Amino acid sequence: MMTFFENIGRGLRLKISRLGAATRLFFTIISYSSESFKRFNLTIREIYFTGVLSLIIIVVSAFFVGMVLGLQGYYTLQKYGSSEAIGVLVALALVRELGPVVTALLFAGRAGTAITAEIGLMKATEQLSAMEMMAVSPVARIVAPRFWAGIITMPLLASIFSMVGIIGGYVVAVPLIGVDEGAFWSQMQANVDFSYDIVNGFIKSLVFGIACTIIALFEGFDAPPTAEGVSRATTRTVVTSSLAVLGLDFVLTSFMLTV
Amino acid sequence: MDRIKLDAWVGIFVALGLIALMGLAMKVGNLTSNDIKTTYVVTANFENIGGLKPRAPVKSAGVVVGRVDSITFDTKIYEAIVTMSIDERYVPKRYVCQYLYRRLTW
Amino acid sequence: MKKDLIVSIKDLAFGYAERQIHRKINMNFHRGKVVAIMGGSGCGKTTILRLIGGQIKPTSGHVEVDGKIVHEQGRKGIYELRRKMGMLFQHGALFSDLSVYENVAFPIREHTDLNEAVIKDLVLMKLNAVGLRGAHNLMPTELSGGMARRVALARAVALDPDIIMYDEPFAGLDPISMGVICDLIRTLNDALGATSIIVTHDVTETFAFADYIYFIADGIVAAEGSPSDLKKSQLPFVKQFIHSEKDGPVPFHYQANEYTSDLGL
Repeated sequence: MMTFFENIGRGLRLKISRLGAATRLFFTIISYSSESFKRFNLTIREIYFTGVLSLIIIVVSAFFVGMVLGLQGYYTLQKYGSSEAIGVLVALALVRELGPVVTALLFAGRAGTAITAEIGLMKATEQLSAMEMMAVSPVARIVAPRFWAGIITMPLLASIFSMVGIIGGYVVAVPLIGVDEGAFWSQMQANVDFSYDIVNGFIKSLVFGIACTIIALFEGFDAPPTAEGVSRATTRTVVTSSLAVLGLDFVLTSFMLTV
Repeated sequence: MDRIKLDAWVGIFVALGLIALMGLAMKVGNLTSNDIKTTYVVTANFENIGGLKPRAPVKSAGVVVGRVDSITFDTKIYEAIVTMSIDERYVPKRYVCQYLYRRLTW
Repeated sequence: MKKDLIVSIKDLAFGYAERQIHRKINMNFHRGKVVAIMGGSGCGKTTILRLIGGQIKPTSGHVEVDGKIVHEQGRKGIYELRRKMGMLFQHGALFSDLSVYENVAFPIREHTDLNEAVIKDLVLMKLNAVGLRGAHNLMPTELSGGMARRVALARAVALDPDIIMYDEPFAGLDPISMGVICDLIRTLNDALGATSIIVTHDVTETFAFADYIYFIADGIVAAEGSPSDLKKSQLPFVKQFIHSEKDGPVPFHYQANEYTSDLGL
């Protein structure tokens, strides 16, 4: 019986010490970040690998999500005779929640795991050690550019997601179902507020970007230098990032709705 | 992957992201109807502000004509004082303010 | 005036919470010499290289490189020292996303302001020294183990370091590649006037070209001397190692119960 609690205690202590280590990595990255901007092409390269290569999955997912929102939303709204509010529903759902959150989850799965695997592998093949011995800081050269790329990429991807999702909702609502086009857009414009909805959504995607990127970088940096270690680390990246995103979403949403 | 192609793709990506953001701001939100012009200040007393917050839009006939600047409490008359900035172009003869879920209409 | 003693290790102790690896190590490395560090697996040979390079700190004692105590240096100081060192890792540790050319050019680009034309000449010279000038466009994944190691060697000597360290350079190589590496270690060392420190198991090759050898066992320097001295040594540990004897101070059997009781007799 006691061992059960011992295990929980030990596991909890381990997780907290990892959280501490990840925070330390965050501050180390910040202090070593000057290189990422002085040699901006390092960061640009990483923006390509995290952002550009994620575009397809983001755009396709967004389109489908928007279409489903259109369908589901219409089906429910027309029961109350409010089918013209479909534009508002799709836009608000995407901009406030689905855009930032789903983008973050997809990002963690695609770009996050790639980052973890890459860094884990570089650690396992002693490339990071080699760089250190050549008096080049691996944090400055490898880790920090990926961090800044992740922060820049996430809000852009989330905006693209929301926009494409709205287009998907439009495609279902107006040509397919027959909702009035004017009503679709004007209701949306009347009820989506820039400061509250769009800016808040942007802030959310920024926070999610920081969280997912740090988790991916930390798991890669911390992974045991074996094949099994790296594969376990990529799994942990996805799980931890997803939980972090959903948890942060709740915190941010409650904060934004009350303030 | 040579540098030029990489830079080009990143440029396209960032442009797409910014266009999406602009699109959201303009078409979807109500940024365009924001008054960037000069404004004048109006104060109104409310018995209950409900969920009203600073930066909430102020509308007349459904059109955004201003924004709420600040909300304070007057200890003498025990009412909320809402200060708002209205676009200079719109100066009606009479002001009647009605609170309508997070936004003011008058 | 350059000192003759370029690296010296005094009373070094190092270990982790679970295990004490070094108890009291004393070593001296002189300029221009090729020195080998040998010993059984897990005796802490590679750890010594890391201690010299400042990647880890000793628990007591110190390592002195070119007159400066390594673990007392700040971030800048350590990087200054590392610029005088070149290290060849066990499997090369080439950057997998850069070509052979870019790999060798990496330290030059990071630490000098030379223009592209000069860099190109330097890189091709270093690659030529290891015999791989024609491979400069290949990617690391396209190289064999021996070739990768040679490229890594070219990279390690790109800035003409004073100290070149080798972590098990002969591990897993075919005889020809082994001969090539041996030759390169000696030639490069003499050409650059550098000091080479080699961590290895390989007796035959090392004894053929090293100037001085240190044997590590039980956390201390068990034996040291020139190859000819050690071949004559009567120390049981040295004899077992040099003559590849199955049993001796390093036992064959892992600690276990009595054989008869294990079999249930």
